[in-house]
Amino acid sequence: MIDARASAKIGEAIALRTRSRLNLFLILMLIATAGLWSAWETNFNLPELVRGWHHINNLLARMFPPDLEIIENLGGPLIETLQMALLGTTIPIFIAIPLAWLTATNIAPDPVLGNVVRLVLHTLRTVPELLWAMLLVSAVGLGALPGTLALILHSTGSMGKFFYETIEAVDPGPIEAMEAAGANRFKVIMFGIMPSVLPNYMSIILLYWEFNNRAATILGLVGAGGIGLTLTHAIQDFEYQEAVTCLIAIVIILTVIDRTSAYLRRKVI
Amino acid sequence: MARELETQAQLAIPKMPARFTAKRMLVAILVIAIYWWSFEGTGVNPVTIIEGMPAMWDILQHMFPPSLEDYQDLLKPALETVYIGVLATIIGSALAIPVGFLGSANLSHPLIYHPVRLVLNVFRGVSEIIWALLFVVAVGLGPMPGVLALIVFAVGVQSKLVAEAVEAVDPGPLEAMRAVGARSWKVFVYGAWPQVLPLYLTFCLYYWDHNTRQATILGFVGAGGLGVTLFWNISMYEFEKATTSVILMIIMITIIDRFCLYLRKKII
Repeated sequence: MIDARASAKIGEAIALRTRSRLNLFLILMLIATAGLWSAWETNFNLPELVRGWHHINNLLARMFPPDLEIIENLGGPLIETLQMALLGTTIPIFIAIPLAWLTATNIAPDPVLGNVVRLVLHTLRTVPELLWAMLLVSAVGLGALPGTLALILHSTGSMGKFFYETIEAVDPGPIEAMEAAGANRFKVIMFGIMPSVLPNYMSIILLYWEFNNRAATILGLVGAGGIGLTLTHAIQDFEYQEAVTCLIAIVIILTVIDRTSAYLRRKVI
Repeated sequence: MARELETQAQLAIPKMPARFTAKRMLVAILVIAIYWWSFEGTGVNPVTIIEGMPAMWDILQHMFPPSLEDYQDLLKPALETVYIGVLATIIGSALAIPVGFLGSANLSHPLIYHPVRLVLNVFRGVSEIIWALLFVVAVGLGPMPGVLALIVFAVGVQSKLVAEAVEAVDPGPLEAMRAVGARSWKVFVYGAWPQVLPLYLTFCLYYWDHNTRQATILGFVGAGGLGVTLFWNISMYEFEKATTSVILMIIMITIIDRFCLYLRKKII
């Protein structure tokens, strides 16, 4: 009697295991097919890559040693990169916070307006900053201005999303209590919501500061200022030794930014 | 007596911290100076922005309505973008497992993991598009350098995440396995990996989304995908065609983003 029940349970367990193994197998097959299909469509083949290895070697040989003479010319573009990232992170805060208030479902004044704002934020962040930069460069010309504006547009979309999601996750208790005590919407936002989301906001802002520094190093590829411009020129002129110096400078500056951000995060939060 | 009471009352009131200390003033001045300098340096100010408004408006007018005449030409590059994203994610995620193992401080040998971590730092030190720029020089135009660029960056980030996840694993089972004589790769496969797997799958989904987004702009440097078309459209001032590409791109990214979100909910 007990044996029969036990063996039935064992049978069930075995069936379950077989099923989950079959599922795993099917999923792996699906992934493998997708990979092979993509490799076929993109002409990605390993043998050719290995045969073409000498091209990569050749490039590497022409990159070293780095040309250190151009270091003095890198200061200006590097500072420009940092300035773009600073403004590209600070200005969106003042745009994204009010937009988040308009669209967070628990405090939004009007659902239609909220959805429109959400769509705008979605578009702003789905278009990559490099594409914004390119469009703005064709509008206002080369330089750091279109680059900074591109960072502002993209960051407004991304930070705005995180901002409203944070507000939506706020504990509704204190808000209800304030409303019951007769606080108006502005007071609820200022004294009920903002204090509780502030640490998260700090964290989001620091994250986007790092992100924007990284992005600011590449905006130069389309002529929108920063160190990317120097790098692109070096590569276009086949000055690979200069290019490597730029790359090293980029890696160093981004590492410093990451460390600073981690330090500030510990201090602030 | 009265005077004594007064002092006592004064003592009872906690001293308010000074609002304007010299240090705070200094920091405030420094911050204002840095911002002033940044506005100066980048040329961002109301005047330049207002001056640029007519040009931006002009471009917006050129962008709408979007031209639908050769939307069929967009399908191939759009699909290529998807393929680049899928392939780079699969290869990058697969490579991240062994590399992450070699780069974890608790399971790997110090002589291995320090160099591995250093290489990973370089891999994710520069953005995908810069890798793409270099690979285009090395292996020529097309989707191939794009895939390689995404793989290099994804390996850099995902291996680091795997390594950190392995380091954060509960050490108990690992020690037990070592005590009965398991080799370190066995400790990894049977001890650490089951604990890391859910986290790893989340990274993979995140990087699929991320790689597809990046794949749309890699074309700006000639590394395949929708970006190539977009770059030419904008360079030739055919903004009404560019809008069609941008809309297609937004739709594509939104679909993949939603799909990833759905899969993530299923996994966790």
